Amino acid sequence: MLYKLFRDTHLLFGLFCCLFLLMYGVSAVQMAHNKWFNLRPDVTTVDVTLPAQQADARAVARELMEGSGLSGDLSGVHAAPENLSFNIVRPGTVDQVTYSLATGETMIRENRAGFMGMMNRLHHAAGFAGTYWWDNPWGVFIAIVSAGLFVMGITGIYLWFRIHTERVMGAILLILSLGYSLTLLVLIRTAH
Amino acid sequence: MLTRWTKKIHMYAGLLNFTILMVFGVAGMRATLQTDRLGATDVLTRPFRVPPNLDDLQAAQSAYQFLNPALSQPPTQRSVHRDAQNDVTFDMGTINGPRTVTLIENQNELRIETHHNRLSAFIDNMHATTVNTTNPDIRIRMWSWYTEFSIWSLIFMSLSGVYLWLASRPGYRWAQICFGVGSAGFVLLYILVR
Repeated sequence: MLYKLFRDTHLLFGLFCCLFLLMYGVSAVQMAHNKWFNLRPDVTTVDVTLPAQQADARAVARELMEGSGLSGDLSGVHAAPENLSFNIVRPGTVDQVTYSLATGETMIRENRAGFMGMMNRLHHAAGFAGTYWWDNPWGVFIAIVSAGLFVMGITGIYLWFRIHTERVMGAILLILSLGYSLTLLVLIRTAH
Repeated sequence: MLTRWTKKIHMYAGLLNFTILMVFGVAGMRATLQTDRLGATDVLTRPFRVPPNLDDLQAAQSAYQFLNPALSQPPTQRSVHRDAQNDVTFDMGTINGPRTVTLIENQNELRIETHHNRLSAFIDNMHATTVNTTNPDIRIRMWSWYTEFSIWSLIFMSLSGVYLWLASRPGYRWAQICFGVGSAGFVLLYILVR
């Protein structure tokens, strides 16, 4: 009865988390071996004309968000006498904006991350304090996946232990792994 | 035969990666709950005379060599500056938390301010320690090899887990539902974020 419960729990959590874990694994490979991947974004440029003589980047950004459908967080504001430049950033996409005060001509250079770039951004997205409405459902999924790692680890240990023919080999591997990893954790945590 | 060996290797991979799965779980929960990173702060001073005729970076590097702190790397131009009292100061990031060293030259001493990371922040840093770390410390490098192994294991276990399900109980309704909901949620959110 307990075996069946643990086996099903392990399976169900694993299947639910599968694509998220693959995303974490693939993006971790990208971060550990960034030379293997080309993360150059796709770049497109759009020119729009806004009313001239706006000296506040925040006002220009809002106008672009409302008029040109841009969305994201405002960052990297640089105000020069003749133009304003800033970025509008959301996961996987950076819109670099240059606005001419004299003419109102505005260039929007959109840098859109490719698949690996998106994996990287998603790897770093978690929690419920984000700007966008989808931050919350994403945060719920990540919370479940994080809890799922504990559940899968613990149920996995139980499932292994129930296979009598694998106890010796499994115990050797588990002891080696715990010895190596816990020793390093303690040594690093206590290093001064 | 393939299923039997896949199950065996899946299980062995899980046992070898048990600790780091827990580390990944803690890192995920910390990111979800957005807990504070820093805990207590310690301040201590040590006598140190800056050798003559050094510029600020060289003075900071000299102090670093004197302290020989674990898990950190020598100061660079970007990390060295003068504070409001005109004392040279530099920051050192370590997995256990940042340290700020100040060379108080008129008293011939070093002030070392250590901000200790909370355990969850320490574990979060550990999960992010991969083989591209430039830290030369052998303990960090050994941990990064474990992380590297775990990354590939995670990919393998995700794929082999799906295979083992399809090879054993593909008609199990709850499994189909969980796989469907999880995958659809991921794909939908990916598209929305994109």
